Amino acid sequence: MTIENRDGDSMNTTNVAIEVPVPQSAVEVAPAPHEWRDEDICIEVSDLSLAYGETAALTNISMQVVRQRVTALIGPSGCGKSTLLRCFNRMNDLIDSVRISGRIELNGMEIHAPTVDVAQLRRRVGMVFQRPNPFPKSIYENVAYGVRLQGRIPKSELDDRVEWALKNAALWEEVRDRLNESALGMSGGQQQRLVIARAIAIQPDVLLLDEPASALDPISTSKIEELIHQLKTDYTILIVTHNMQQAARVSDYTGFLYLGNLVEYDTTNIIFTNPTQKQTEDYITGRYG
Amino acid sequence: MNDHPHISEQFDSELQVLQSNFAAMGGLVEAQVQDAMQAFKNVDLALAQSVRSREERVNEYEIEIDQETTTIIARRQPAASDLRLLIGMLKSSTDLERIGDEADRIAKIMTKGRPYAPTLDELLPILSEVAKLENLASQMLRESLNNFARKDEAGATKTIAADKEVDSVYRAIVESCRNGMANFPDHVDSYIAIIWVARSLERIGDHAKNIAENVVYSVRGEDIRHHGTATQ
Repeated sequence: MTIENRDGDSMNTTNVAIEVPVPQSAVEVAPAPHEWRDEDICIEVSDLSLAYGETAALTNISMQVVRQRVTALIGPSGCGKSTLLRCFNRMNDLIDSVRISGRIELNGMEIHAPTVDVAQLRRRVGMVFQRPNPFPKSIYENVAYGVRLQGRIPKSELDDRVEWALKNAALWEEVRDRLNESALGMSGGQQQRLVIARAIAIQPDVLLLDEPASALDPISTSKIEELIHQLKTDYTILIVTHNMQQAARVSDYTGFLYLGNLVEYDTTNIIFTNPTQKQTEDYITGRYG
Repeated sequence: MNDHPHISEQFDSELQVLQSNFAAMGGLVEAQVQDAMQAFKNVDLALAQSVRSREERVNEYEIEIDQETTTIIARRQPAASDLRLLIGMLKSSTDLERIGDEADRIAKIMTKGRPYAPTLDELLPILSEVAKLENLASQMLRESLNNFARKDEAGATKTIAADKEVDSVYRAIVESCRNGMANFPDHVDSYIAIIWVARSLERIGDHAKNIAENVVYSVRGEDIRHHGTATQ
């Protein structure tokens, strides 16, 4: 029963059920690690170590990456965050002296298993780098390129896929009238969104973003951050950034790496308001360790 | 709490200035409470007037601390213990300002209130209870400020616990005044004045408790307010 008359005199206060409003959460709160269910986990890393020759870059990393969430990896230069990111689509395989031990399971599949086709893996795990790297081709061809590699596809379907990817990368309105122009004529921010469109056109499960906005101006950066927020409804996103505020803004979970160790990994809320480890605290508050 | 210096020395010095402003505001507010009670006990109208005239300065401190904190948050984007310290200070400055208001209220009873006669024999036992309440509330205030300055979470927990005694002494004073009014109706104005003063002291205890709770939040990151009443 609701009370329409706010005049105290006329209210009957017996047996009146008043709907008491409860405060809503202004900030989206991601479930804490202890609340994760098995089906929430997209990537499971167990005891992962990696060395370049004799130099250890990652030491016994174990972590779970939650599906359709944004996970940020932060830490000082050389801490291993990019190396870790590159493990997820086996980009480190391209370096001769690398030795890797431990396991990485993507939706239950061990990605180092001999049966795994690396090209296939990289289709499922797309990657975007710091500097936008469009192909010297038209805007359309940049997005269509990866889709064509997956096999023959009718032109109309390809057109639809290109439009879908450009829309999802928040670029369609800006380029719809010049799809046949060279991608190299676009601004840096547009190029980066084009590269993201190219990555999602082949509909991967996971997107790896390695400093995706560090070469961009603040407005382009905001657009990329907004895009990341929208893309997580469909993709599991891992982002490496040296911009801590960016990690705080875009991610649900944050891992702090230092000297190849995963020092702390928790919800972004906890990491930025009340981290457990002194090293994390010193790093995010800008102190000497 | 983190006592390592920041890489940015400028940030450290900004935080330092802010903390000394906070400490100065705390000292001013303590003096206001002390003087207001002194004025009440001695019926010292001049002292009451000077408390009232200094109230403006307390308000200026609050505004200054709010502005500086806002600027630091906007420009430095603090995180973790720095963020909690700033939030704790921002909220505590509001409590300090309200303690200043209570001191002003006590002074106002002297300058604008109805006449009251503290020398009446019938009032003496109650006035000694008021003195006890003043000691307890002042001590809570002093301790909460020390807890803040020393980032002393354990001390803050004790300060919070002291509020229970403040409340119980306050209730006893109100009860005594109720009886006094029934027995000595001629002194009703005096009893009312005492109730107002006791009420202000009790509120000062509440605000000191809030400050101590903010210390726990700043140091440990845990919100311990409304324990026992929260539904979660």
